[in-house]
Formats: sequence, C-alpha cells, structure tokens
Amino acid sequence: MVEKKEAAFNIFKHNLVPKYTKLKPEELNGLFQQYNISPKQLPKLCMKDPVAKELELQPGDVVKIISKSQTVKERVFYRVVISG
Amino acid sequence: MKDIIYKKIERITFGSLSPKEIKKMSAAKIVTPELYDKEGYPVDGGLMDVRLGVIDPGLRCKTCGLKLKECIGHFGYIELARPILHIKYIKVIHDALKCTCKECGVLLLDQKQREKYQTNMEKILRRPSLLRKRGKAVILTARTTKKCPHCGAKQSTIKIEKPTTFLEDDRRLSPIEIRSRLEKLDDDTVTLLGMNPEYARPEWFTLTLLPIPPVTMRPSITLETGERSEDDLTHKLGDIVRINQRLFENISAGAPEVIVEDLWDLLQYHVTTYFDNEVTQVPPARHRSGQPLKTLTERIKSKEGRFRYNLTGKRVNFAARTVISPDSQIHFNEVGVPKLIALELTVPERVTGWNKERLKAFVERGPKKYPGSNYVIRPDGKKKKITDETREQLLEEMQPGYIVERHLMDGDLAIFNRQPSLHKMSIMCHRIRVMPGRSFRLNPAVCFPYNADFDGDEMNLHIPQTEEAMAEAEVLMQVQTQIISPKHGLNVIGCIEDAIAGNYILTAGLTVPKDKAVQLLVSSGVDNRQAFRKFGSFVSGKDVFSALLPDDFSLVSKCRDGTRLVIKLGAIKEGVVDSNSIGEEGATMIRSLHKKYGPDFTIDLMGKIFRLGINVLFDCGFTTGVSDTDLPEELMVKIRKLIQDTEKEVQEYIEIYNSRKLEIVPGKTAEETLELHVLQILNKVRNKIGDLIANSADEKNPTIVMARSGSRGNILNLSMIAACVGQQALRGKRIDKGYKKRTLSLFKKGELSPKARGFIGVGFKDGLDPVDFFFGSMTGRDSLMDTALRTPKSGYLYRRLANALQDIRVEYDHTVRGASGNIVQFHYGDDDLDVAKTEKGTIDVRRIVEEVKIDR
Repeated sequence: MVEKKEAAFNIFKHNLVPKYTKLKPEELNGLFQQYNISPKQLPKLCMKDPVAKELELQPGDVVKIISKSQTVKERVFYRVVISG
Repeated sequence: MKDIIYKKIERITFGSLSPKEIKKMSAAKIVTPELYDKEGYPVDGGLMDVRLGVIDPGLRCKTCGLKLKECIGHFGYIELARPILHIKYIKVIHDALKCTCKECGVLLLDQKQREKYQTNMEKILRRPSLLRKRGKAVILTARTTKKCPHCGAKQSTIKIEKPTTFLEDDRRLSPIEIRSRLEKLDDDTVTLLGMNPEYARPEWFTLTLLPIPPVTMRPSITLETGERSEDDLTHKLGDIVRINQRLFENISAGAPEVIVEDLWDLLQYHVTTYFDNEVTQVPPARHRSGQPLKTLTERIKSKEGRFRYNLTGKRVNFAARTVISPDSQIHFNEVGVPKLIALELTVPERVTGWNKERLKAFVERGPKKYPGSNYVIRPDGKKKKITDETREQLLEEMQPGYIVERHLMDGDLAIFNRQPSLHKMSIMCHRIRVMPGRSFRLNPAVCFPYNADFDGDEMNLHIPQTEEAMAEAEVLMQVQTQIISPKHGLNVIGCIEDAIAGNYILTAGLTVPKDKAVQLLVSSGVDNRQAFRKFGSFVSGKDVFSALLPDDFSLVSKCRDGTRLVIKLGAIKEGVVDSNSIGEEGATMIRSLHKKYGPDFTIDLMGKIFRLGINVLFDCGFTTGVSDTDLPEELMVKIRKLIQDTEKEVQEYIEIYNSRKLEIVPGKTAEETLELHVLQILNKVRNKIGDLIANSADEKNPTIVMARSGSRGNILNLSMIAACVGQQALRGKRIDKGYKKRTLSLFKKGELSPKARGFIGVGFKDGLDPVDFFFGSMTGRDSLMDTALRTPKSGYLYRRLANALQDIRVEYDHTVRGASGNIVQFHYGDDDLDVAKTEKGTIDVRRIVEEVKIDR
C-alpha cells in the first residue's frame, strides 16, 4: 500500500476546481423533492475522483458544486457519489 | 380482428429453447428435403408442409384453420442425427467446459470460493444483469483451477479451434461428449455460471432438435414464368435436412466412422451458416450465382436488417421525390410541384353540408382531369377508386361523412425534405404551387437550410393526411418559423447572390426616375402608395429600398466595409445594404425585423427585398467576364515588382540559412525556422496584392461589386485570377514531396526557392506553366480526397451522437433530462437561455440602446 500522500498541493486552491460541499443528510430530501427524483437520477461523481477522495466521500453522498460561469455568475450542480 | 384481448405485459423473459419446448411448439416433424410433389403440392413432412402455415391466397391453414395473413404460421422441427453446436453459443459452451470437472461435472471452486459467490443469490436471480455479472466473475476464477476439489480429477485445458471444434489436450471433443458433460451440471452450477437453469441450460446449446421456422417467414415467390423461387432460408434448411437424412442412413447402415464424421462436419457447417453466414473462417454458403445466402443473422443485423430497415425506418405513402430546380419568382415558403405529381398525390377532405357541391365537382372530374380526385372513402372505411364506371354511383351516394381524396392544389401544405436531415431545417413545411414540368421548384434562398444545390439534387415531398398533422406542420414547420436557427440565434434564410448584388447597387448610389422606382417596387410586390407619393421626380436608391421598410423600423449596424448602416424610422440614412444586413447567417436587418415584426411579416418582406434586388439587376444589367479582371498597367507593374521583391526576400533568407547564420526559433530546427519565415512571407504576398487591387478598384466593376456586396467571390479570388495564385500548401507546409530532396526532377537537389516549393507567382489569366499546374493539381487532389474520406466518417460520428442524445429534452422544471428522468443539466445550458431568442448566444444591449436613441 502506498501511504496517503501529504497534501503536497491543495486541489481546492486551484482556480479551475469549483467549490464542493457535501450535503447534510437532512438536506437530501429537500433536494430530491425539489426535482422529484431518486438519487439515481442525479448526475454522478466517481468515488475515485480526486475531489471525492480528498473529501472522503462515500457512495450515496450528494455534493453541491458551485462553479463560476461566463454566462451566469454561479452555476449550481448536484452530484451523487458512486463507487467504482 | 374482432377477438382482440387486452392484457398488460408485466414482464418479458428471454431464454433459449429446450428440446422439449421445440417439440411442444411444433406443428410438424420435417423428414424430407423435397418441397413439392409432381402435382406441385407441398410434400407432407417437407419444408413447405401445409401445417407450417399458409402463403397462398385462398387456402386455409392445416393447423389453425385461419386464412392468409390471419395465420402467423407454425414452427416445425427436425431431429438431428447427431448433436450440433450452436455457433452463437460456442463461447458459453467453452466457458462451461472450462469451469467444470471433466469427470463429475462439479464447478471448479473450493468451498470458500463457492460460499463467496453464492451470497445474495435470491436477489441476483431476480436481476438478469447481475446474474450475468456474477457468472463472469465465477468463470474468471474457476477456469484456472487445475484439480477438481470434489473428486480430485486432474483438469486438462480445453481450446477452441475456430469456428466449432473443441480440443482437449489436442484430442478432439465430439459434440456428443460435450453434450454429455454439460448434462452433468446441476442447477447450482448453471446458476453460478450466469444462467437461469429454468430458461437456459448449457446442453441446450448443443442442438439435438432444430426448429424449422414457419413458411410465412420464408415465403416462396412465383416468377412470371410460373416457376417457383424459394427463400434463402428454405434453401439452407433444405441442405440441412438433406445432409441430416444422409447422416441418419449412413449411421443405421453402419458406415465407416470416417464417412459419418465427414457428414457430421458438413451438417455442422450447414447449421452454422443457417444461423450466421458471415462467421469468420467459415466460407459463406452461396447461391448458384455465387451471391451469399441471407440467413438468420443477416436478416436482423446492420443497415439492411430488420431493425434499421423495417422498424426504425419505414416507407410511407403520400410522398413524392424528384429533381429540384430553382424558381426565384415563387415565395420562400412555396414549393413548385409538377402537375404529374399533383394528379397522383391527394388531400383527404371530409364532405359536409357546406362543401358538398364543391367536392362533388372534384369527383365529377375524376382522376385524370386536374383538379379532380382519385378515391372516395365511405363512412364505413371502404375506399373506392373513382373510375368511369364507379363515378356516377359515387356521385349519387355522396353525402356528409364521406371523404374525398382530391388532387393537390395551390396552397395545400406539404412537408419538404432533403437528405441528409442533419438539423431541423432539413424538413420544412411549404405551400404547394402546381406547375408544369417534371421537377420540384424551390426558391434559391431556401437552399441554404436544406444545403441543396441544383446540380441534380433530389428532394422528398410528403402530404400530411389529417387536420391535426396539417395544423402541426403549418404552425411548427413552415419556412418562416425556421428563419432563426436554434444553433446560434441568427437567420439561416436570407437573400443570396443576385438579390444581394442588386440591393447593393441600388443603395450604393443609384438614382432612378420616379416611374422607374415605382415600377421596380410594384414588380417586386410592393403596394405602398403612401411611399410612392413621397417620391420626387428622381428617387435615390436608398429611398426606393426604404419604401419597403415599415415606418417604425430603426437599425444601427455595420456594413461589410466597416462603415455604419443607419436606418431611422423606416428610412436608410447612412450606409449600404449588403450581405451583412440581408444575407444568410447573421444578417442584422433580418434578425431585427424578425424580432420586431415576427416571422410572417419577415418572410414576406424578405421575399420583396429579394425580388427588388433581382429586378434592379434585370433593369441595369449585370454580367461579368474575364475582362473584368483586367488590371491597370501601372498596378500590374506594381504587383510584379511586389512578387519579385518577395522572391528576393525569400532568397535572402535562404542564403542566410545556407550560411548557417539563421536565428533559430526556440523548439524548432533550422529548416523549420526557415520554412516558417518563408511561408509567412509568401502568404503575405497574396493579401498584399488583394489590398492593392481593392484600393485601386473601379467601383463599377461587376467583379468588385460582387466581392464588396458579399454576394459572390472575394478580392482574393480576383487577385488569384488577375495576378498571383499564391503558395500551394499541403498539410500547412510548402510542397516538399516527390523526388529525393526535390519536388520535381527539373530542380536542383535541396532547392528551396519559392518556385521549387509550390509558389505560383502568376495569375490564372496569365496561364500556369507545367510546374505550377502540377503543384496546383497536388493541392486540388489532396483536398478532394480529404472531403471524400471525411464525409462518411463524420456521418457515422453524427449517427452515434444523434442516437445517444435523441431523448434529451428540457422539462417544465427547467431541468434537462434523459429518457429515464435522469438529470443532465439543472438549467438548460446553465443559463436557461433559449439560443434562438438571442444573437450568437448573447443579447447586444448596447446596440438596442443605440437604436432606441435613434428613434428619439
């Protein structure tokens, strides 16, 4: 096993990496109701994604991603973490 | 059709047929390869057995008693003398053999592994995809085991010798052996291998019975000569039955093993090609003519297969196809339909108390006299053809509720289409205009959205047959609704060629007498008497054009030469009209008109502008020839000097390079650096020449007018004809192919001069020498090949993309979702902008402000 690398470099400080926040369990239902969806229908985020690794996300977690956009000031996106 | 039973399908299970099921579903056992007896009647037990269904009209099925088209046919079966491997399941058989003990048939997993793989079995059994996944994992572990954990027997490796032979330690396994081994597997083993033993067991893949498909799916055709021609499948099945019978006879006669095995292999070949005639390493079975048979797999697969040919795409009625030709006098949203076609295609009209007399007149005229009608449909759905015999009777019985299929007439709706239908503007709704001739006529202005030209293109026409379809076509698909493209929010329909040149000439400084001005406008379809009254005895072109525009229309835009085009309250104040304002793709005036006055008004006005342009050219005459590219003497001298200077400059660079003093660009070699500089210099010449010509050009010169207005050609084209063709480039480099270190044998080795590397320093009009011509041909051929190779590639790319994206749509909650409701975007394009309502994806607020200011 390779030891977990010390944060040689903080990916969240990179200007191309948007802001990720993990949704609290109590926030999930609100989101699902707002769009009338099941977690499966959300866009996905791979658990192996560097951001997911860094935040130690587990399958089933939902993250809110706020990125900057040229056309609209803030672009909000939700992704559900999947294994594999 | 009355015994329809309505049931809801809860689930569908796919499985393979067990011998038992094959027998159970069969109506007949097939034993003889003969098809018909001497009287031409199907032989009992033959492949065309009457119990397998009916294909002749008038007969009744021996099995179910139904008539042709009611009886869907019944399967039969043949008993194979020896088991035969199913070609499509070879891989599954191989896996099953590898993973089980050759002696006792136990799965080659030890206790621990077995337990691991048996977890969660109930859940997995309910989900076929999970079952298959589990099976794959089991196979991956079990196939490497060397010794049976149950009986301790040593396992040998089993290889496939393609296509259908199995070898165990170089000894051939006969299908009998394979079958007996597979029969030993218990249900648990089968499950772990990824199959549900209820629906599929591995031994079923070694066939002992072969189902014979009903005759209805392999009908024979009677030729004109009265001879019967059988379907490919029947031929193939005949081969199978024949060889099978011979095999039976040989076995029961006790023939030598070699002969039996040869026949067995032959039977295996026939069964294999019956399933798939395109298996690698198996020669395809052929007709006597040498053309390969189309067997089961080929019936389903690929473009000509059942899915893509018969299910995803179907042939339709009420359609026509012919060559297209231009007609600039019809409206943009019209299509000229030949009378011949109008006599054939029909529109259904329902008889009511109000139109009864009118429709009776159509029936009276019948199918031959235009505008007449071809059919009358009675309220009970019976369709009656109108002929000289039936006409009187039909006229008499006609009453409200009847439907008359009358000929196409002017103003009817039609859907017009040109393949490849790459975007929604490839299918638009036009109004019909019946015309003499044999080709579809369309206004050249709508060539652009269809990507059509008139070098022999053909287009399709469809006539909507219900009121609903007509309404949808009219509201959603008419040409005017498609002026603005959803791809960039700019217009895709605009004026072209003569129309632009004409309006440019008109607005760039033409002055016409009042009567001429009025005549121009009236012949273009304008009837604006108020504007006419304002005309003085001489009218400027700008005022003529302004008479078309609405009184409250203002616009600020840029002309092609960078000056401003200002329209204030329906009058041109500054600038000229050119392709920037009325052309196709991004015409500012058309975009503004569309936004302010809507599609119907815009298409009408565009038509008027178009015709005005053409009429101006009709009036003043417009032509161009080689003499229009003649340049003044002093300009030619200047240009020659420029080319000479450039060649000298290049020569200097080459000399520096040869003396190894060239300053090398980082990351490049000396040669690359030189090439970079040289190419830059040579490419600049043509532009410089273009500028020289543009600056000293005669404004009346037709070639210049075309280039300036943006109607056709550019200054570069002109300079290529008149002065200098320029550098020929292959893959972004000067030409360096051909002989060793030189392009052609008449140059010195290593020669780097412009001429030796594809620079053509003369114009087309001067004439090219053989060297120049050869280099020109090189780039010409290269680009020709490039387009020829790229088109099919990009077509396939598009097909994949379209199939992947076809279900995506914007829902009412603004999310973009796929077919299963999965979210693709939370807001369309992240900004919720409808591109069709923007200009190039943005809204130019500054320009709107300027236009408002002008209005004040």
